[in-house]
Amino acid sequence: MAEAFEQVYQRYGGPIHGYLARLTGDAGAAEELCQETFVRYLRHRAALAGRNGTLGAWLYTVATNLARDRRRRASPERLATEPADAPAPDAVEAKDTDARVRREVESLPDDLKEVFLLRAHHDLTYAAAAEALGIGERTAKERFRRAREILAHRLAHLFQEGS
Amino acid sequence: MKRTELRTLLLDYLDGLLDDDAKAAAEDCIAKHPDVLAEVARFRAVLYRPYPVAPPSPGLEASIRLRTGRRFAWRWVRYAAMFAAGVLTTLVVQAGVRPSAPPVVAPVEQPDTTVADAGPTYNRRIR
Repeated sequence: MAEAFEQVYQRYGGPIHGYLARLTGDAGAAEELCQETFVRYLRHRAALAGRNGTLGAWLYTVATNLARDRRRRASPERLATEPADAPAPDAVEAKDTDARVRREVESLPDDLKEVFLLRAHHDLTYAAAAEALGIGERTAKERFRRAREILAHRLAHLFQEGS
Repeated sequence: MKRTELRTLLLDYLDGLLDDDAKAAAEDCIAKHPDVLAEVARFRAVLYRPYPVAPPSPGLEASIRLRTGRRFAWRWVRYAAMFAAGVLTTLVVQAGVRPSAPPVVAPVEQPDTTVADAGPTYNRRIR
């Protein structure tokens, strides 16, 4: 039996939107892609009825694919208008810990960022994150480790600071 | 082991990235270096806490429903149009294959065979 849309949206709406907002770094894009994710869920609801246990992974898969498509479409313009690694002026001066973490996470390579966000911020297991991203569990672990190494290097001060 | 290596080992331990042998080694380190464990725990607490982002707009759920609702409405309109077209086609086909009625022949005027009129004709033929 297909779960009611209200229940699915209540359970996954916030997390999927948050994931997309962190993945794209753009609130408007997150809103648009989140809408598309749930429209696709409604279109495929009947076929997903038997996948209650993995519905979350399915939604994260759709959200990730939509974000990748958007990135592919946007990248030529982005390259033409913005230098790839130029941080926003306000970010340079940001002293708030969240802002610093955000800036570093957003600057991760996309494949590492996807795994890092799903595992560390959205509490998916490595297996679920791997399923959502269409990769093996071992690859997911390896990418997570690389993402964390980059962040540990860039945010070394967090080892000493209190939060 | 250097402090940075210790941190990496303990991070791997806490992140569930170690196999059983390495886990045992990490647990030894935890017992010997509680200060490094505290550093690593602090790092994870900050780094793994989802930083705040704008919440979804209150109208998002309604706009999802609106989009799918419209689609479903159009689908029904499409089905109704297809059904109507099917019925119409059936009617046209049926009308085309119906067995044709016998041709209607205009009534032919029959010659009047009354005796009064037949007389002279008969006489002319005799002559």
